[in-house]
Amino acid sequence: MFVVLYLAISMLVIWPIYPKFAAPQPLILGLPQSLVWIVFALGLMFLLLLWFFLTEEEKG
Amino acid sequence: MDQQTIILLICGGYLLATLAMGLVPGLRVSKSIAGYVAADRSMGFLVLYFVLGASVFSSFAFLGGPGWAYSRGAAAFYIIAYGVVGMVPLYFFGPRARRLGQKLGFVTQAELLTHRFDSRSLSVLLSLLSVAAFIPYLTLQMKGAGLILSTITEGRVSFAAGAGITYGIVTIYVLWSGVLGVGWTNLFQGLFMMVVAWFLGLYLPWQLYGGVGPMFEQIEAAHGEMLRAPGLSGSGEPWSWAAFSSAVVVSGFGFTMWPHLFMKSYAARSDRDLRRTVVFYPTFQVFLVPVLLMGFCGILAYPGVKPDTIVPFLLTQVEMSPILVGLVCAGTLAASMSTGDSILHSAASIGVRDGLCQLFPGIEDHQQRSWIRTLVLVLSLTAFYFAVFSEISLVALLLGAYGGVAQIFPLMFAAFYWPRATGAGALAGLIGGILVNVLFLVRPELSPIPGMHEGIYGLIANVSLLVGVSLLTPPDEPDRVWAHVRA
Repeated sequence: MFVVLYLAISMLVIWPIYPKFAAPQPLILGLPQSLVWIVFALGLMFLLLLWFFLTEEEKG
Repeated sequence: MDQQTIILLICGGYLLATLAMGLVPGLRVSKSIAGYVAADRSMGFLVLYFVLGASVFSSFAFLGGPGWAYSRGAAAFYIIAYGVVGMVPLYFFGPRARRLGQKLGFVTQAELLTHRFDSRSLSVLLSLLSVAAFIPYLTLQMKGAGLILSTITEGRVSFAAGAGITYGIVTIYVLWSGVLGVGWTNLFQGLFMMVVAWFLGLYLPWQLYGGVGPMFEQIEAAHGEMLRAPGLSGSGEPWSWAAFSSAVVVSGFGFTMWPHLFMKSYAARSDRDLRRTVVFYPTFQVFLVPVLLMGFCGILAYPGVKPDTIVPFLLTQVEMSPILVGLVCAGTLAASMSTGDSILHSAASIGVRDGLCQLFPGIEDHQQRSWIRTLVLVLSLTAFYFAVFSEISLVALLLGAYGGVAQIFPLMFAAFYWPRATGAGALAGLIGGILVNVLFLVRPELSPIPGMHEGIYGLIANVSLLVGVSLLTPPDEPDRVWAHVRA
């Protein structure tokens, strides 16, 4: 599950998914969409790692 | 007191504070090689977080990153993109390496691979690769320090003096305290850089355009192509998706394979501390956003500036209190020093442990420590020579080195997850990968897909040889193999 999600998030920042969000418009919080998309992927990776870490901690 | 004196006093104060923070830990670390190279395996979450963060964010992030945003627009987003994928492997490799290090006494990356694949040639090859990759990397950090001090003081402090004083201090605390000095100074420097980056990244757009949103609206109206991913190539043409995506993949593979990063796994106090550090690493990486904003600021306001100097140039142009300029200047020095110290320490440790000790076995623990310190001094002077006197294109060398370092990834993966991998396969894979990488680096016109990063071809050759030769050679000794696979 983790590997699948990791690969899926990694795909967000390269071809062929990133080109769909490559345009500067719309500006989101003043930043171009092309930048916000990368930051969004970074946030998703953080949440994935946090979820995995907490699950492992629970298992002991 | 004139403005430049205030700026220099602040930078001087910062340098003295860093020196003190770097020297104090040396009083409490053991005199053993594990103390000098792996901090007696005692680093907790907080120090590790800043060591890993600050080691990665270097002069390149603070000067090169804004330079990319300024000259190549959205291409600079690649720097954030590869960090999204790059740190995750350390979550799995790091704790295994730490446990093996504790059990078998490893303090370098090559020691782990040499033990797994039972190959002294591999160790020497990895040490040569590491040191060859580190010298241009260290030289770039020195150039960054010299550049910021000379630009900001308009030549009152020469480039050579700026680089020399800054790295004289780095050399002193690395010599005295080893990796623990690197750790504590990185904590201080990391905090400092983050504050400076966020302040400057928000202040400059506000001062020049009235805010971040208005800045991007104006850039989009005038140069919309710069904000459309994947941005522009170095020559100003649109960058291809093949080039962008392959650069992200290769840099992602190479990210945690840089020996100065990987070696910090051995310094971790526990698996939990190391995993938590990786989990929270993206929170450190977000600070690249304001760093890139600084570069975007210059596009419309100051066209025609040399890209790498855009940040110090903006500081001389924008109305700002000299105290703030001094603090920003110190923050940029922190970015350079926090990477430079880690590289210097790691390069010397690797050169001695993986090079000298393999060629001349039987060197005592205390002698190794002396040799490492000697090599710290030699490498520091070598990098200083290249920074001040040489005209060789270091950026080109460094970009080539990234492709080379990524070739370690398949070996590390196989060491932990593929029991059938053999020493002959690992050696063939690494040599083949490096050679193919170098071939496409110097002859890019041979690339079947224009713009594709040469490291991709290297990785294809590497994995093919690793798998093919391993299957054609007898399996390695099971006890050794399983010690790694079950670590």
